Amino acid sequence: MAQQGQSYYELYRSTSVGMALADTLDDLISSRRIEPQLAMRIMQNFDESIAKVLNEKVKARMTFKGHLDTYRFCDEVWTFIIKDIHFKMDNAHQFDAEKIKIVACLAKEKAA
Amino acid sequence: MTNQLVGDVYAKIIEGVIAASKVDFEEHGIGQDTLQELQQEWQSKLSSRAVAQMPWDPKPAPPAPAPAHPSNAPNGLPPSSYTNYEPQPSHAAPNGPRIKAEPGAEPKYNGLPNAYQQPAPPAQGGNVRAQQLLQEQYGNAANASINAMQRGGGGLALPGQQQQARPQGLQLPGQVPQNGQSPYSIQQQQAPMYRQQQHQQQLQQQQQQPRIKVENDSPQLHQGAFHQQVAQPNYGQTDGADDAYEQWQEMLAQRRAISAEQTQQADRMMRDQVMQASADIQNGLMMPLDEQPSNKRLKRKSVASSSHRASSSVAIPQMDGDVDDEDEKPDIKDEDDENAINSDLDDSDEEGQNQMGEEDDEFTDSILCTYDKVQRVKNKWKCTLKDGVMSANGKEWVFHKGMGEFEW
Repeated sequence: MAQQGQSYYELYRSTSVGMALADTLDDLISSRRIEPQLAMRIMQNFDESIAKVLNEKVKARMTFKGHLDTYRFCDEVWTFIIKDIHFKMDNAHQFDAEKIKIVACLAKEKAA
Repeated sequence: MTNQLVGDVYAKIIEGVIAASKVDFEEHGIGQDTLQELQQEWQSKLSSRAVAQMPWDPKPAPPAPAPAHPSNAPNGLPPSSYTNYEPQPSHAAPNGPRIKAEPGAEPKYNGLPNAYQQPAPPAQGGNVRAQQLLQEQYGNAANASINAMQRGGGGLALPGQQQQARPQGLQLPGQVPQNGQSPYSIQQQQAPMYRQQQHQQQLQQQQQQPRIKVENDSPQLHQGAFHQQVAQPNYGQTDGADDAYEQWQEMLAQRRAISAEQTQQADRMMRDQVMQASADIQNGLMMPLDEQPSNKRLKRKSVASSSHRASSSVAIPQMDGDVDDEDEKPDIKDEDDENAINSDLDDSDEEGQNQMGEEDDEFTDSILCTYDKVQRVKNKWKCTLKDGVMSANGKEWVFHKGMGEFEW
């Protein structure tokens, strides 16, 4: 939580689960059921929740290879656009993608 | 990581957000029902994206997040207005004549015909609630009626009980006759029933205290009886009719799409014919060479009437024989312009959709994550990614650690 001195990336808001939440909140705001401030607060809760769940609950690994088309490093954020990418998941599931965009923020060491 | 686990992870995320937002909702003075609605809406929106198998999808109720919020169950509050309504009628049934359990509720009129059949079927959970309510209110006296309900499987489903029950059901708004309106019309019967539902709700919430409140409320409610009376039967009917209405809308949309397509086809066909005709004219194939000068002369004489022809595009094919190039062209241009507008609109729409689709594809195939390290040796890159959500080929995966190797 922000009060505890730790802030969370808003990066995951553009995942499907984040977009679905934003859409829902938007509906509630436009029907004047909640205030935008509350919606912002909920989005912050979401930032925290998804970061924690991904960090603590997810154990899966994966590797990928591909051809780097574009790279960018700005404000500690890496952006890659990789083409002809091949993924290997840890359950031997494999698949290809034509083009994928990677947005990566600097991993924070979990507060001890 | 299988796709199935993504749903579990998302369920945990939703659960966490909802739990964390509880306090925020309270601080903003927003009720918990809104929070529950938020959760359900969120889940349904997420399901509609179909990025993964969600744990709440196979069942109507979200099972995974539900334990944190038991009141979110589908048997919760919403149907309570009906279920609260039921125990009262069935209570009266086995005990024959009215029981004066509620002094203020003593009926002022008896044996009115039940012109109004409540169409809403009682939910299974409703029955249980009804029985509980009966037990609370009347203790052992309610046993008989509870048994009756259990046998019947639904309070309102038994016409015999229903007939007896109805006057009892009308007791509560019975204070209205004190206002000098004892001869009830059929519409007025329905309005009190609605009031009674509301009243029952109050009863449940306030433990039978608001008897005075009912007297205060009754006249007001009675004034609004026509609205309520209209709303009440409609409410029941729309439950049944809604499906049909949706089907109807769907069918209508399909029909409109088909007819629009046919209209466009017809338009194109007509345009093709016109274009064909004009091409024939411009080629000069249809006319002997020696007739052309005379045609021009004819044409110039008929310029005066060309305004008529220009205004009515339908007449163009018939003019083909008479009209020469110079005069025909403006007409054809008009026709072209009309079609050009339509075709431009159509094309741009389709193109716009395609472009949007392509952009969507580009942006849906993405990995959002954090990185531990990114290394490069010449054109070889290696990166270690963590805590990622990957969206590719319309599905999503989550990973704790991802290793990537790629060359530039």
